[in-house]
Amino acid sequence: MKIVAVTACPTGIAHTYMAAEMLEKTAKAMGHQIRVETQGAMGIENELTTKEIAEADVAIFAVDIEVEHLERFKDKKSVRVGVSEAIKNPKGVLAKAGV
Amino acid sequence: MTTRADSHRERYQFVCALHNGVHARPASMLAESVAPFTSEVTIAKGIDSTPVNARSVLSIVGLDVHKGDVCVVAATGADAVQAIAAVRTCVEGRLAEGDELPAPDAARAQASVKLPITLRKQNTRHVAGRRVCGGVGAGAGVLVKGLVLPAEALDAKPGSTNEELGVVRGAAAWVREDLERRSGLAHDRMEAELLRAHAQIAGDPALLAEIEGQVRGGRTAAQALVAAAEQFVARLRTAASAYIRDRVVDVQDVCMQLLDRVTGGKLEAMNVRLERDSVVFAEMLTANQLLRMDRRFLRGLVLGGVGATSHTVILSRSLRIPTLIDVPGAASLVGAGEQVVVDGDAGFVVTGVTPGVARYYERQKRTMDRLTARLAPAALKAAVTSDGVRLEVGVNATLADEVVAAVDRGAEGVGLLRTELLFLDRQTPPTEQEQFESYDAVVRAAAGRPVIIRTFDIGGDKPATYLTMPKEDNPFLGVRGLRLYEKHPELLRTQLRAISRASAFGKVKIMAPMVATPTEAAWFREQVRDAQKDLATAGVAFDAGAPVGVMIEIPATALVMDQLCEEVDFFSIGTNDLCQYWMAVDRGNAAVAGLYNPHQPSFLRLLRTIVDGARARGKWIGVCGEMAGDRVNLPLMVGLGVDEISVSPGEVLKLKAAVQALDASACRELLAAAAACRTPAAVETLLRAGPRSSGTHESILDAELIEVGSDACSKEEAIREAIDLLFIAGRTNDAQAVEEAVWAREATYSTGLGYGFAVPHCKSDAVATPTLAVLKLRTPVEWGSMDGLPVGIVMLLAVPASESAGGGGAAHMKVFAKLARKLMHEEFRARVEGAANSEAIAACLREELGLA
Repeated sequence: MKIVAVTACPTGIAHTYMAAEMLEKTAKAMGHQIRVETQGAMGIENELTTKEIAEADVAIFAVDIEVEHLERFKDKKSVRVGVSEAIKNPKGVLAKAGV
Repeated sequence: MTTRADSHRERYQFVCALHNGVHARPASMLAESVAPFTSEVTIAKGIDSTPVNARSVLSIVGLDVHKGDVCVVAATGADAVQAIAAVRTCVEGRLAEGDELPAPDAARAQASVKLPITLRKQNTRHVAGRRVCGGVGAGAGVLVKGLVLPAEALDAKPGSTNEELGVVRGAAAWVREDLERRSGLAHDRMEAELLRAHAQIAGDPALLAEIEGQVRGGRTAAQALVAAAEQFVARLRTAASAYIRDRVVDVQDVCMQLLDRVTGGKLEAMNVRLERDSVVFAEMLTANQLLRMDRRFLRGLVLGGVGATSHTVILSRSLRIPTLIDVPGAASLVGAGEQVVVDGDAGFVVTGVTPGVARYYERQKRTMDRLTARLAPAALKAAVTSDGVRLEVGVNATLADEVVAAVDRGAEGVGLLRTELLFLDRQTPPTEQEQFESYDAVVRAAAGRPVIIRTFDIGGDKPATYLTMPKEDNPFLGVRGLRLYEKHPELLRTQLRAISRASAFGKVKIMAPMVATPTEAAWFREQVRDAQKDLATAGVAFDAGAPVGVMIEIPATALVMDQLCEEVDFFSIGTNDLCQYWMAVDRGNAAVAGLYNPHQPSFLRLLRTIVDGARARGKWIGVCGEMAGDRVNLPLMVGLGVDEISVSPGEVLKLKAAVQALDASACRELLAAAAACRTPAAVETLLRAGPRSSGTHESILDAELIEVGSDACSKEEAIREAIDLLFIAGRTNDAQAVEEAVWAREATYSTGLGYGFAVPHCKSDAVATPTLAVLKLRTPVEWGSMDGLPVGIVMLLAVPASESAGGGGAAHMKVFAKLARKLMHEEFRARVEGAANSEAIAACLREELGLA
């Protein structure tokens, strides 16, 4: 499957990146393609392209704050979870997204 | 000021110039001045008030004379002329010395107090008070009562009036002599003056008359004393000024000593015995009660109605005893012997000391000891960069006391001694002798270190009454500094003589303010020579080789540095005025204040031109403005290649330590890059990133920020200890603010990420530079982690709130992001867990995070 994800936590210093790493690590281990955009203290990094979003089967938002430019995901199948859930139980989050 | 001669009757009128009004010490000076004469001397406030005896300190104090009030002194008798002359000399001379300014933090009342989190979580019992002297002290509570008659004296029947009068007079004479004797023995100037003032009160005619009146009314000496004290206290309490009200305690003090004498040394309040570490609680505590205590055991003071400007507080501060005032019900807060902790820094007293509280303060003490140990070597050593460039760190000062403290902290000299204070707020200029004593005290305090004395810098903004200064539309561009000297050559000559006399006792350098042209510089040098000639003629010693310099604060000087170098020996840059004049901005004007910024690239270029101009001709040049005291600017100072920076006493040690961590060639590169910027913001971004070799990355991580084997036994302790690592390393000055920010973040959800790791973090402006601190705990602690396991490794990420995504900030944040990602991998965690000591952890993190 092709997955896109966005992670964002309140301070954007640590958990944004932990969640991104866990989602990437877990999805890849399961044989899926994943691209994770981080919205942290440094702003948006690894920004998802329109093409990537269009081609993805599902979008995962592991966020504790509002996603920036949410309109990019209009009509996209998506799930929203808290950042810590993605760190604690990445497999569960992927399952929730139907992966 | 008028004097009208009359046969045996003489009058003198003056305006009170003392900030704090005529309180006990100035009043005792006045009373002392008329003591040798036989004439009757009275003093009145204004023309209408009832004149009081000028030999009575209490009566003078009771006049409640404020700054600006007119006082009329009248003398009648054979030596009336001489008596008035003596009063006049006193008013125009030493009276101002008795005017202690209120403590800087005295006005800042404590609104509320926030307990440190560790104590808050333990629901620590505490009472807030107003901070008047910092530090932390722990001990057993000792309750001290005030002026209370011993039980047996309460109902005692008086002897004959003559017997009781004899007792009173005998006690008064004895106490007075005792105070005078102790004043002569006192080492501390403050203490000596206080005891002298009290000796005056003990012999005060008004007080004695009141006591004797009470005796004649049928009381014993002891009862009369207490009644008289109450009378005076009630009278003084109604005074309008808080300062005068604070003098109540002086009267009580003397009365207590009298009572103690009368009761044969049995007055409990006067004989407080401290036999172990103690914290004294009292509603009212007199300075003498304080002085009579065994200070070896005095750990703190918790006081109720003692004012911030009272002698008790002034003394406690000079003895450095942690002190709180305005503590409601101070005398009944604790039981005698109960353990308490006074936190004079935070402003509360812990009345319920649990083992947890004791542990918190032990840990805090350990932190302070570590900080002192870390900085101590820097105080002794010269500040030299890693590549061997020396930067002297001096202190800006006004008083000798400040210099003593700064020298202890490693100050290598006085880079700027301001002298205006001697000239302001008085009716006549200071005499040569008075000035000499003041400069000499500073030179002696500097103990052989150089002292740059700047001649008075007075202008339209800080006028002195005896100087005729025309009203100017724009005083900052008018007659001030050196420009005033031509109109008052006698003032300059006197000061230069006083400075030159002091030069015989140390390394004095003489500097003029507000010099714009080489002609002015040459003229100033000539004036110094003339003053020295005066001394040579009179056979008075001075240092003929004392260097003469000028302050660089007018931009015009930058382009004639070559010519200035021909006229003087050294320079000191006053960045505050220089920047205002350079940018044509009044920094007090909010509409344009934004332009006032020493990080303006043009200003950096100006500084470079000035310093290069001085260096090209081998002249010594320092910087004494605010810019030099801000640690952020230190690389610029080193990059400029100045010989010295002169800063406030509190900054000396930190800056000396910071110099040693810099590389001068990298600082020069940084300065070049900064001067090439277009905006102050761009310069500030460069400064935040720091000079090249101190390295954007290395600065995040340092072995001294890693502690292995921490004995923290709770999450609170672990977080505080990690923050204290930042504090000791000089990366934050406000550990409690960082702590609050970390816990605010912790409140959203736990930062325990599982596997025994936690990453508490925060963005706070109390953090100086992005920092990673690591704590490896001996015993893992509960953290509320995602997997429920306790935490053994704490990685604290602290970021300044203003850290931007651009420039150097991004590089720091990338390191943190990388670390966060790494922590998700078991191999990484295992490596960190396996590292045995700080160095090994630092090496491992450097490698894993790609920090060179």
